[in-house]
Amino acid sequence: MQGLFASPVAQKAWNTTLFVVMLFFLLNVLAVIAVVVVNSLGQRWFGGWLPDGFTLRWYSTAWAEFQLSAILVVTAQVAGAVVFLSLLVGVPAAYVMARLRFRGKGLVLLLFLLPLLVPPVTYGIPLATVLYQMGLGGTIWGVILANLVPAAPFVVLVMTPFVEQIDGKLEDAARVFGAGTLTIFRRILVPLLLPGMLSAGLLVLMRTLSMFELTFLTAGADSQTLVVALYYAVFAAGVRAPQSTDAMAVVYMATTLIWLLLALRFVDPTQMVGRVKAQRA
Amino acid sequence: MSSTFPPAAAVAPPRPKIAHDARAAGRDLRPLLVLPGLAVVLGLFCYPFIYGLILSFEPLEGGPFANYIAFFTNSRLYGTIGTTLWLSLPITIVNVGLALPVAYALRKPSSSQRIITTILVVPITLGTVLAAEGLLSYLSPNGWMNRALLDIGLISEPIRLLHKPAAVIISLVITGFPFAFLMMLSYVTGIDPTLARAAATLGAPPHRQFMRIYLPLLAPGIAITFALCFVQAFAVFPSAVMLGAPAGPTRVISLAAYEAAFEQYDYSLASAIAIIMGIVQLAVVGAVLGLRNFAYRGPAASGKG
Amino acid sequence: MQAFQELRLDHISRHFANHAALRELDLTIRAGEFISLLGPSGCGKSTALNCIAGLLSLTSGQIRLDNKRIDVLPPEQRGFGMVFQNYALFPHMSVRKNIAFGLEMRGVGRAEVAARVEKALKLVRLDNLGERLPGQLSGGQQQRVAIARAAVIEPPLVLMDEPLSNLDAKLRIEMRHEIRRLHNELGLTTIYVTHDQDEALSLSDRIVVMRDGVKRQEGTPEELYARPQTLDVALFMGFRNVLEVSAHPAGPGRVRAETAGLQMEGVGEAPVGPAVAAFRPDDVVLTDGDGLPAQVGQVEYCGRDWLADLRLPDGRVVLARSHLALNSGEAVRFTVPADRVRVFSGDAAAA
Repeated sequence: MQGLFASPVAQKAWNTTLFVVMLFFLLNVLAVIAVVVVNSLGQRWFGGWLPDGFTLRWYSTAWAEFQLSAILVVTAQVAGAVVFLSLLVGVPAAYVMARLRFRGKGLVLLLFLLPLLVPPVTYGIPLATVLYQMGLGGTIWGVILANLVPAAPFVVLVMTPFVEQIDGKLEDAARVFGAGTLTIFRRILVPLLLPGMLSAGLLVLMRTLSMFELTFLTAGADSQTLVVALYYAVFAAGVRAPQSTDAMAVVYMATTLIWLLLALRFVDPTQMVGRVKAQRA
Repeated sequence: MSSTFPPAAAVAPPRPKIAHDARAAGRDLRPLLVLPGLAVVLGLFCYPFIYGLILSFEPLEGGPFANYIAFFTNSRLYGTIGTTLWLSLPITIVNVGLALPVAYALRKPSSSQRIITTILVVPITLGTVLAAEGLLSYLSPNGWMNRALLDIGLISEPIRLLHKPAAVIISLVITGFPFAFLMMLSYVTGIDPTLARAAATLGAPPHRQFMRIYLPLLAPGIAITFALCFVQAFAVFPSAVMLGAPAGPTRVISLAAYEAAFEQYDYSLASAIAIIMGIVQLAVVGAVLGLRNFAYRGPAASGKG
Repeated sequence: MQAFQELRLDHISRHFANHAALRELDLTIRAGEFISLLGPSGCGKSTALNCIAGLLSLTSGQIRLDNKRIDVLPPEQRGFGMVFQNYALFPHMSVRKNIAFGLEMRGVGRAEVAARVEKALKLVRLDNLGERLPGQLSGGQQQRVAIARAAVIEPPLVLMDEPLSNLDAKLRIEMRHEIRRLHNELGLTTIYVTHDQDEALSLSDRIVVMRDGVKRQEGTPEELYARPQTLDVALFMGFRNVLEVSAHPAGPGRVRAETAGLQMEGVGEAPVGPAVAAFRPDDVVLTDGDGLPAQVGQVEYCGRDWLADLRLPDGRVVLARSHLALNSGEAVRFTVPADRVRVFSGDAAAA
């Protein structure tokens, strides 16, 4: 095998193969997304490469049929609340994880990692059970709390290196010159952490918008986010025109990708996958 | 933000001077700041798990182990483990196996790296539900894929992929490969490229630079990526329902749990299935991480590293 | 200026896990003094400073400002000024805001803050850079901001933690001068931590030499330079030649040191047991005729003079500084004036 890769020609062939495989994959990904967009704009589509004609009518149909305005309001409320609450609890925790050493820190880190490592379906079912028992199941608060489970630890992990980047001597200096812990947070840490909080907030926002499982398991009829509504629409296919479902899918794509575009200005795509630093445990 | 991955962190110098964990004079209340975040995890993650565990031993009827006995005697239930493993394990191997060489080839910052990562982040952001919705049209008998294959002449009549395991597998690649790739890329770019250059000056050709420098340093990252990809694939849910045959060949374990909870309202059985799902995931992840330790120590012990 | 008489460190200790970073440090700092804590890294000097600042709590002992016990206060209530090694300027605040920070924390009125900040800027000669961010300043300018930030609050005590170690050699000497000027002009009391003996000698009224968390010697720069009391202090003060000798009393306060034909008069008491004689390369005097024979080994040219290895007949090497050019291989003779030789108990290998 080493001989195979040793020659420059083999090296080149190998790289070309990778390139072709990658290109094929990317084309398929783009096609899968494009087909949704094209279908949502198509009048009738039987068999050809493209629909017979184009129209925007499916968007108004979808808007009315799926009560998209109500769903969008719920989605915005859920996402906004999850972003706010996860930053509120996650940033101070990230500070502690970055700065302090204390007994049981390894365990605390493990507790923050677990909700990110265990897939949502696995803990979503017991979580939904508990939320329904508490009377929160099917409400928007239940959905928010459920989404907080991966979001808050995610903020902790994303923010920890941002805190580590800030020289601890700055806090010492502020303290020596008379600032208490609260003032240090307000005057020193929060201003310096704003870029990190922006990144973390955007990432949580996108993760919440596309979080299907937890919302699906905890939402009621009037607390569905867009992605769950989309699932039900596909599930109940046949009742409605598929174009109208695709129009809804495009609306969902637009709401998610706008934030992605914004986020890509601040964060590296590799951060989207959570960049798990599990080895530090 | 610059990458601070474990491989790089391992060679970073220790933090200078006075450690900041050193307690200042007066009472230090700062550790309390971790409590709200911890409360979220303890209250909404740990408590439900423990509650579910206890609930799973309190079945609607029968003794404490009735749920587990029911699971392992009913082929429609225990069969889901095999079904899910059969879907998720090969796919994870393919995804990670493909992600590693591609990420390695793209390790240097370039415009193609930027373009590819940007395109690949789209399916991750959109999620499985949208990918499934797209695939429903794309893979359909009249869809673009069959049309392209027909036009090229590779097939004479449309192949039927929908509502079969094949469609679920394709959806797992569409969402799983980008995830594996981005994780691998983050690990690969976290390795100081001067190490490979140092190896080159010592006479190592490219493939040996990879085998001797990158691969050992990447071993932990590969293991973590594999574990996370597997766990996600094992928890496949919406695409199995939307694209597969949820009644049979793609009846995955999460679907069984969902049905128990929300169709039969047997939360006790649902919890038992969720616990079993967690245990299978843990077992595979544990095996992979154990293997990593073994693989990682090998070269060091033989004195060649 | 908040008036006070003295700051007393009463047997303060600080342990990290099982390691004692600072042991039983006992020290009194009088108002107006410039005092340096000098020692190699890890000697406990920074630990001591951080304990005084309140950034580290004490394991035992007390710190009193006149009669008030302050070691129980958190740093923000001690009211000291501090200059950090890498300045620790707040990167998101302008120079002016940085300097104003301490005053704002003390609730000083806006007009007064502005006036005092302006005055401080003038004092450190940064009048026209007030709106810059720290990242836009050079190292020396950042250093001035850090000093202004500490001085503007007119603290009873200014703590400086190796403030010059990040500057290049030329700037270091310039800023050293500047620090002493500010100390005098503002009537500050300063505790200065450094590992650089030149800095400590040129700046301080009093120097405390530390090693392994323990105070080894305390005195004026002249005392420490001329009369180190232990071998490790002597080594730190530049006594680079250490020879094993046998020592005999030679009158009050004088000692005769002998080794391999080498006879030296020295200052100190003749120790019981093994002894070493220590002297600086600068104090080696090359002679014509009398003195000890040696052969010149490696020679380093230092600009104004030469630093040479002199190999003794028994193979030991003495470092000598010479104003005349020396050539490798040349045979020379040298002596060391008696009052420049210190004799200590101990053995040279341990040094």
